[in-house]
Amino acid sequence: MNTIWIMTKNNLKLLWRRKVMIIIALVGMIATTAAVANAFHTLLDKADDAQGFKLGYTVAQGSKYELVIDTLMDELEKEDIVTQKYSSADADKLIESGEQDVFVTFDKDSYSIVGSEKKSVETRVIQYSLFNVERNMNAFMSGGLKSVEVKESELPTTKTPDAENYYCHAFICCFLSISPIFLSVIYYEDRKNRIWQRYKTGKAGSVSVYLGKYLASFITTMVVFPLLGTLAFCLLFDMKPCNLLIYGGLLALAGLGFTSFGILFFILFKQPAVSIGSMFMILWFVSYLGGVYETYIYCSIPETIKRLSPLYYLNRSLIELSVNGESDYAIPCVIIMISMTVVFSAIGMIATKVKKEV
Amino acid sequence: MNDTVVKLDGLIKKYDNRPVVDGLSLEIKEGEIFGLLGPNGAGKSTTMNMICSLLKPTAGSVEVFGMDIKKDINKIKPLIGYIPQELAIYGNLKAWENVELFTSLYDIKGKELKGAIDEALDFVGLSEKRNSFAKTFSGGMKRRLNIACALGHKPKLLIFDEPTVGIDPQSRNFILEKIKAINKMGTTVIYTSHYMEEVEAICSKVAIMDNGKIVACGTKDELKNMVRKDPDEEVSLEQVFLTLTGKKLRDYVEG
Repeated sequence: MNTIWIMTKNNLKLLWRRKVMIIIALVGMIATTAAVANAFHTLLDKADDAQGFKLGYTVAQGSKYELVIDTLMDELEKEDIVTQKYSSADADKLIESGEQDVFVTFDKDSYSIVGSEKKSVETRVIQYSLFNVERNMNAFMSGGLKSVEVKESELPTTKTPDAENYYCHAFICCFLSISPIFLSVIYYEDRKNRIWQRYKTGKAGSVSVYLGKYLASFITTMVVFPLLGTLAFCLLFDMKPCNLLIYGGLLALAGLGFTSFGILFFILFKQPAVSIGSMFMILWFVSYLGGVYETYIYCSIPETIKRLSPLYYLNRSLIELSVNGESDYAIPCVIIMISMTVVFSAIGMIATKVKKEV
Repeated sequence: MNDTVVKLDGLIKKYDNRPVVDGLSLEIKEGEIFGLLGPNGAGKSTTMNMICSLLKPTAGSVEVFGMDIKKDINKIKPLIGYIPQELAIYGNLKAWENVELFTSLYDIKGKELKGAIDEALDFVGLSEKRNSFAKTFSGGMKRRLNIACALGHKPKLLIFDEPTVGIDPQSRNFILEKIKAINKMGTTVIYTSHYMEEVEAICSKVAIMDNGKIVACGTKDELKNMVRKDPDEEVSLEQVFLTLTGKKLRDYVEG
């Protein structure tokens, strides 16, 4: 433990004495966020426009939805959605002619939604609203609720973060994922001056050498991005992180996962330039799928592909927690980050032991 | 004082089936300053790397203090101090931090570690510069710090791989005096250098390697007698070296 502590401490000194690199990373993150948030401001504001649209619907006789339909429509009207009831109608024709933007057919026990291609956001608003109503009704049927309520707060479902809040979260996640790049200065010196020979001839095992670098990189990452980055974003862009304990916990797990992933590149490749290049290439793609550049809200990439990116889970969890206070992606995100830490750390330690250079 | 510290037996190291060290057998006794000489590519560094476990031999055995390097590597490591040819120090760490980092690799902690840092820096004359960054040091000071980093854990065998490359005569003299002083304190030393006068000045025994093999081994006088034609003839170690290894240029590519 003593060796790991002294190695971590000295590696931290090596990292923090390159102040310029850390300042550039921090300023770079803030500048990129400001630029991207500004550029996509209009796009994300589209969510607000989603309130003013036309909704047509039919309700089958004896449908379980009769119980709540009037309250639901009243609440939707309050959200500036113009509703119109039909006794019978061809949903596709109404949408095609532009008479309605979204159409819902309430059958006896189910409902179907048809939306115009141009009104995908609005369709999703209705989809999510009905999902909440359905959940509420099911609880009522099973005796969990005394009466069925349609809460206004549940209606504007795709409660979308504003551009600043979205990109503040997204870029903290993105920069956190590439932060092992700081370690390049240590690996560069290790190889240029063949310092690895001292580690190999020393009594300390490869695990200590690995952990000395790993912990230094992790601590630096956490201080620079989740701590200083969040502080700067809160002050400059009015970022609204969720519960700080959950926010910090998720980012700490992500820090552990991405540090173990990033270090691998420095262990596997001899040239730091190759390590940085290949790490960037993979993380750029992961960031793209994870909604860092194009928001996951409007991204046209299929959900199954987006789910290949660990950043998608992290990004979405943090944003949904910030905006809605809950996220179905938080638990999968925790599992993915822990798995990344375990798998990549194990590979890193084995590679450090096997490789000639540490 | 005659116990064997290093024993190499039929040591072979091959790269792509090309032998770099070819059946080397050698014994280094306790208290010796053992000079290992040879032209570029002779296999000196490879041999030393195998002694301090940086490389695994293709065949043959390495024993250090009577222990097999394959079986007892963890017991052997604290007994060896390796001073590489390169300046294996961090420029952005202070002198004491460099010594602390590399001494801690031997599980030395607390007061013992602090004492070891002070002693090592004092020994190489860098006590007053302990709080200066290594990157601000002159070439000679960096060389001395490079040595201090291998002294903290008080090894019984020190391996110097060309420790005086590129420094001024004063620093070189200082380092050579210190090597003699360490040796007087009971530490066995293996020393390689291309500077024959250095080897002549400090080594008690010398081996000359060429093409991965020992071509001659003995005291300086024994080696000189091998090439001396007339008993009164003055012979330098350089003459011995050139006679035994030839005058042909040795260009070689690493690996």
